[in-house]
Amino acid sequence: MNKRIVFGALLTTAVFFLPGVSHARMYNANTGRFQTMDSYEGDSEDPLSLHKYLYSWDNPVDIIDPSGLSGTLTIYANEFPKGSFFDVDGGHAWISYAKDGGALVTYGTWGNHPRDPDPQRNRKNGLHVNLELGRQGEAARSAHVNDASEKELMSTVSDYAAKGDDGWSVFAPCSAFASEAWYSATGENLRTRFNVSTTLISPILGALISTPSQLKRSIISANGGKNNGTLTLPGGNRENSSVGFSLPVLEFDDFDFGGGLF
Amino acid sequence: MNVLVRLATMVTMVSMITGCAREHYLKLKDVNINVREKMVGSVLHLEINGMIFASALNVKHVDTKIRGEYANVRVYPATALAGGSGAIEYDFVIPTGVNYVSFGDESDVIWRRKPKVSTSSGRDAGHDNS
Repeated sequence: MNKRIVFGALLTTAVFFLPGVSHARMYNANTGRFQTMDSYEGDSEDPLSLHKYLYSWDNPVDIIDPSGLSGTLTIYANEFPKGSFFDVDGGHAWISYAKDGGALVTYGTWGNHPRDPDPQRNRKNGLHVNLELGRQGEAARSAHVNDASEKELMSTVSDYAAKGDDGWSVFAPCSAFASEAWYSATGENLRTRFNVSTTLISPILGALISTPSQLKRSIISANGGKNNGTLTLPGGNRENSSVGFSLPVLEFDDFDFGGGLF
Repeated sequence: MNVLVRLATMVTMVSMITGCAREHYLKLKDVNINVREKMVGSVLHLEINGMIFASALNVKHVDTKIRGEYANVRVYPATALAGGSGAIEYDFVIPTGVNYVSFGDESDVIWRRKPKVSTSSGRDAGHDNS
């Protein structure tokens, strides 16, 4: 039998049973590098394990990471500036997912019949794939998730794809999809509904409608005031949060007189 | 004193009203577009294709203002509830005297005319997107 295969299999088995060998760490699919150090302190008898930025002993061909840290999920939100007092809010919110070592794919729902290179999806509303490639969010939050969380995520994406044009609506626009997908994989609830105080249209409308603007504020808040941040999940597991999508809480500190819809 | 207060109130109201009447146009960062020039006969056209990068805004209308050697293309959005599409599909003839085309803000140049170079064959040196 090939010695490399045996060695790889042994290492895989060893990694699987050794607690704490693999931990969640952020991976940048664009650069192909980990952004944070492996939290595993390493073994002085095994020099490669001491390296903080290697994946599976720098041998991804023969060794897999069996802890199930399967990819990086990121949620983004952009706020479209209002030109005047009466303009509605615009913007866009979406997610991206990159399997470890794989290409980044974006998912977002659209309500303006966008131009899509895919003839099957061109001028259709609802879920579109890769329309956001190359765009950076004004606010973004990432998490490294495991296989189980990835399945939850893809289940949400599939549900939205199955809705067709109905994947986007005034009451469940892009920010609702993005936050729901994020929640399904991470268990973290990022509020997307307007604060009652931020709309003059009506408190009821503000409570019902999700917006990228509010999602952007929620992301920055979750990031501790920073535009970009990460959520660390133990072992890439979905957080056991009981927090669901709740109605907004009255907050008067960010009153902006914005008559927003989307 | 009362007169001054009334005057200040009126000025404020007029400012608000005129400010509100200003139509909002998109900036380059608000869109994903491709710019391509094409010759139709001997006439140079500029094609701008793409989409608004805001999932609930459609294109209301597009216009071009020409000032000297500069042309400025502006896309005005409207809420998607009004129908239409967020797709941007704009084709316009570049006048002979125009050497620069900008999108939204005049500082965002999306096309500039390539300087003509005399060649032995006498061919037009063509144009180049920026």
